[in-house]
Amino acid sequence: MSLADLQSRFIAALRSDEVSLPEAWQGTQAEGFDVYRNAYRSRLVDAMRETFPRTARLVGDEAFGAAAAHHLIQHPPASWTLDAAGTGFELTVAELFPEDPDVAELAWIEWAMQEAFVARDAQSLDGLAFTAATAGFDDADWGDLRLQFVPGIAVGHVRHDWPTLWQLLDDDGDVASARTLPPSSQPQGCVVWRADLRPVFALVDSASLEALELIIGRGSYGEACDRMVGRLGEERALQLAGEMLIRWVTNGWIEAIA
Amino acid sequence: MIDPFEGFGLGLRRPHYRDFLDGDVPVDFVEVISENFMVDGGNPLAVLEEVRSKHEVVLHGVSLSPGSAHGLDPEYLDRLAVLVDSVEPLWVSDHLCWTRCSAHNSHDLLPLPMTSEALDVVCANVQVAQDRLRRPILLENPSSYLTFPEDEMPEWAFISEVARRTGCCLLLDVNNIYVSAHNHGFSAIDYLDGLPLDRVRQVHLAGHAPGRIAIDTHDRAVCDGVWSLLDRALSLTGPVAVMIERDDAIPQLSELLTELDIARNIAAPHSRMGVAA
Repeated sequence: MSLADLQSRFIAALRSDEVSLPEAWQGTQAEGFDVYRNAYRSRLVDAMRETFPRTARLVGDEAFGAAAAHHLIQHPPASWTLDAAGTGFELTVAELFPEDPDVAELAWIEWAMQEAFVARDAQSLDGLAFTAATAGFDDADWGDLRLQFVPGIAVGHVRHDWPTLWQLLDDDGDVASARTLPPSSQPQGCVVWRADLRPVFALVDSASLEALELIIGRGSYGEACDRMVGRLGEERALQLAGEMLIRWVTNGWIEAIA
Repeated sequence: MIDPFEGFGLGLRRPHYRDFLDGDVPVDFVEVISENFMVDGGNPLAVLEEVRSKHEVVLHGVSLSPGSAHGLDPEYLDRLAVLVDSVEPLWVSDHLCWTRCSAHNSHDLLPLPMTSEALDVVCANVQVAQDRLRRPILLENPSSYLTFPEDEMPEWAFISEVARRTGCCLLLDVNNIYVSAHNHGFSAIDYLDGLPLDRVRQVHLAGHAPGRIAIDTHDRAVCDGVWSLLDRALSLTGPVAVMIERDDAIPQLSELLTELDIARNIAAPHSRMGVAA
């Protein structure tokens, strides 16, 4: 057997009990192989638990272990970094827990926080810098304004009160209450970013969510304002658009004016 | 060739970040897991930068996969090269093993058959890594739980030949020798005597779970048998950097420092500096 064949066979057997070992590896080799097989599974599931600790608490340890194992079978790790094993886990749990959309929302938040944690360092524009950069803007300049957001920022759709749930799902939180908290009546946005060195998140209303998605996708501030006008009427929209922009700057979400 | 560095160190692990950032930890160097710092930014790199201002750093990888028949992952190598250029470590090390095949990564240090084909593969891959990183690397002897019927030579002969052909240096993991000797029934002394010990630049110590198959768990103190083997190894190597690895059930830093003192005492009679550092 060539080395390439041996390695393909070895990995296949690590991943599945259905793949038999070569006959020559039976006996003590098979016993030793079991050490690798067990380590492979436990290492990957442990890594998932580390990335998604609150998701694990929400669904319970056994259900989480099964979901992680299912994910790893469907999406076997290919990257050099173990951190990537959780890529797309929010989609896996959305399929596995269709009656509990909070599970996928939480998995998305935890994944986005891990990504933000190690995103490229960047200095965000503070209020003074933003004011200086936009001094002298006329209406057309404001309409054309495009923003570059800080690395690692992510925006998602949620329907649950995540600031409350986050506390309940902490190490010493009240997990039982977290499992029974009803969803919010209104859809909302969740923004994940890194404040200094710590990943954090905040909820935003659906109008801000739409504007954020548009501008992060390279749309202009003017386009975002137009959509808000269509949704809220001109007076309310323009007031909210101004407040929204101030909040983005205050939160440190804007790296540069593009 | 890599200049020797004689000293005593520890692996930098998350529960001890605060100790290293706030205090003056009495070690001569720290070893970090390369992959944990091959990121774009954030806290890991901030911590490393600060630790680096106080201590010499060595980079220790787990994903190079020099035994992969499909070659090295170029994206991995590029990322590692960026980290190496930024950290300027004393040296860079990884294991004699393979972790991935063409499509999948096991994230484990898997055993190689000791064949001439595998030897050619490892030598070619080590050479690629050294060319990309513009420096010789250190290759660590692994612990293993199976050997292959296809084996053509003992592991120490395999490693010696890799070192001879590629010019790489060695990271001697004394616990791994102890564990593999137990699991495969060879003599740890034969293993040591069979290696080109003048190429050893670093020594790893760790604890393992004993049993019919001993497991390299890094979750407990170094056992007496490994300390004895260290004594013999240090009598045969040149000046080396000695450290303890602890990756699970990580105790207070003070406990590891006390354990490191045992290594200092064992090393003292063999020190090339007259007095152990």
